[in-house]
Amino acid sequence: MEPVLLARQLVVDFGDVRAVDGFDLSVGAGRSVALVGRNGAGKSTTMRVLAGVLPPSSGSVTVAGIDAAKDPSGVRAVVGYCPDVGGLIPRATPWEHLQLAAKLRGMKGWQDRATELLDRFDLAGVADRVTAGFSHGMGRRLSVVLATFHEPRLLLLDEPFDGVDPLGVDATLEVVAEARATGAAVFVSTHLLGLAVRACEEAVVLKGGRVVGAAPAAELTGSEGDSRYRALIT
Amino acid sequence: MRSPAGATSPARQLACLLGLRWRLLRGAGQRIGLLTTAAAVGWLVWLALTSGSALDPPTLATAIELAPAAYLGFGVLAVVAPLTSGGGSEIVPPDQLVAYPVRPTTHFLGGLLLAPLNLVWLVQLLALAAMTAYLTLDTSLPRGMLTTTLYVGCITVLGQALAWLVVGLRQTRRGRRLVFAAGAGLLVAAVVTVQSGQGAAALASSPTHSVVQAVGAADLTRWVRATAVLLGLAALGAAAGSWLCGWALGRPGDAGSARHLLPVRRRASRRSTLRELVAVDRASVWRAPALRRGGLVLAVMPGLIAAGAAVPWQSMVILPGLVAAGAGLLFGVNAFCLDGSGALWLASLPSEPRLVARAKTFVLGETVLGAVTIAAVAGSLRSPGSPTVAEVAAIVAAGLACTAVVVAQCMRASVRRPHHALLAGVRDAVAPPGALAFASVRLAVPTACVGVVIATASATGRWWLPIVIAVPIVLAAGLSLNRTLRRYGDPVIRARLVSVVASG
Repeated sequence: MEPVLLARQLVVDFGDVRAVDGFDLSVGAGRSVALVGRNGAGKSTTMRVLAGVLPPSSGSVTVAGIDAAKDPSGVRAVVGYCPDVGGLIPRATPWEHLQLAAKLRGMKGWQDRATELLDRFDLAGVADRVTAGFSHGMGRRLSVVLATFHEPRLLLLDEPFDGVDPLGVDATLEVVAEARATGAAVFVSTHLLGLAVRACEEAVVLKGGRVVGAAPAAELTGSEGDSRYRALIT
Repeated sequence: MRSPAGATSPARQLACLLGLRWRLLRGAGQRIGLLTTAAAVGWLVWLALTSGSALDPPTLATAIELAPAAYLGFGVLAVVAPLTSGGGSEIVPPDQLVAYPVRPTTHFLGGLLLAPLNLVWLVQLLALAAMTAYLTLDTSLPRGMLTTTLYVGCITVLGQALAWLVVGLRQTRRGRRLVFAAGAGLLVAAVVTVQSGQGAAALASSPTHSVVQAVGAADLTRWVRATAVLLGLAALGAAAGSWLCGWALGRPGDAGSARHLLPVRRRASRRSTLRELVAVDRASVWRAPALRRGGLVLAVMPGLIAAGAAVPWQSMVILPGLVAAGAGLLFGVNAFCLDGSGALWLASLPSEPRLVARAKTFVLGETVLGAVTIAAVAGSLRSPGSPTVAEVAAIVAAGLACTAVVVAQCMRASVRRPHHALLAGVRDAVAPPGALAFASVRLAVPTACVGVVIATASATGRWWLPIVIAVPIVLAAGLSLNRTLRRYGDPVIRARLVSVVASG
């Protein structure tokens, strides 16, 4: 069966700095993979490439059989992306974000889904407040809502748990589980190993833009798993 | 910052912030450009100061007669500019300084130091330098220069102090009402004065007459007295401004001063994706306190001033260029900053990438054209007599041509030189002060040229000539805009832009 996400030999250079160095990944339908590593390991850059926001210097990305280089818009149609830094238009409300997403994605009858997601992430009460006044956690939760709104084939969550309260974390884990149940692939980038293990079945460890290890997420739990992880990233 | 802990005095903190801003300049080109501009301004001031003997006696007499109005004009600018920017410009955006113990006096001094990074301020300074030269032809130029310099310093300090007072007052509902009432009262008083034909009398009683007399005073005692008063006022203003800055920054605001916490009315979905993007961008402009305030001042002030001065129809042709350049500076020179970190999310949506840029272009165009139209209509209310067809055609042609030039220049700058800007408070700017100063020159020079050329054409009396001149200008601007949009379509350039506006 063709994987939902297939990345081959991705390289991203910023001038003389190589941020991602030969990244390979394959994520099948209904699978979830965590991308873990230290700050500056290249996690967010990788996520931006997979989301179609940043073109790679070389390498290829295929999502649901669509080549990102040939049909970037087609890839973006099947991807849901929660960026690492805010990812929200500061003076637009959550409802306006959803309205815009629905229009750009050509969604009909989206209001019920929007209301249900805002309720689930405890954002219904602030649906008409501009996001500039949101706390960091509220912003993160809304970013996850926007990523999952159109029920994408590939859900990319970059630091979705950062500064989020336990109820928000539960809602995000629930969304990940639902996406997997519907056959979507989920790729979560985080530096919070514990939550990565809860959200995903597999983990890929990134260091200096290179994949330095991959294992079932469960193997990174406990003191032994933690030591193994630390050994990989140092 | 090398040593924030050691930078305790406002002067040292200021030096620290200036050093940081200097190091943040992108490349040697910008530094050389900044130094060259400073040297050019100094040279122009020198030219103005030595231009006294260049005028023939009748022109000189007229210039000297206009001197009090020129000094008053500078005073009005020195008060209005910091009022619109909520206390003056910032060397480093306030959100980037929250972790540092920056003193209010440092903020105040920083605003003062950046006041000259304003094209209108510099142009008026040159006018005052020339006036000083004319007024001191028979007396002492150095003495006149000292008095004018003290006047410039004094009025700039007082303007900043007043602005901080207004910032502080506006933290509460009562204060906002008070400020509104005072502003409305001043406006009504100005309208009544002008309408009742007392405008000239009011100008004649302006305190700038005393300044002008002191600048050209042969009597040393008179000069010393007036100059000492200016020095005292400047010192008093500096002390008061510093205190008011601390008071305003430390004053807790009420719910009304934090509009972003209030819900906004839900609007219906737009029919097309472009309209949906335009609606979001339009809201992003009007919900930003700095842009809302700047926009209102920009649309209303030039028109009111032109109306007050009863500018002749032929001179009205220059107005659209001035207003269009100012409107471009509002947000146009960094249009993509409206998306903030949302630019990353927007870039991941499945739309034609250039739609985002087209929406920004549309909102910028309507903002500039709206400001130009309001200013032209308001300004022409008291223009003497009826305009000729050529004059009306020239005003319309200048408005459209200048709008096209400004939109094209702004979008070009937005794609080539993006900046991260939060625009959360009234003191937030769309770009660093130096970048804004450069942008103001880039916008003001072509629009002024367009205005002068079209005004000259309208003076021939041929109504079609201004239109014939405007058409190629609009077409050239359109081509430039098209090139910019193509450039934005490049994924690498767009990715860089998105990355900068999203996170700096």
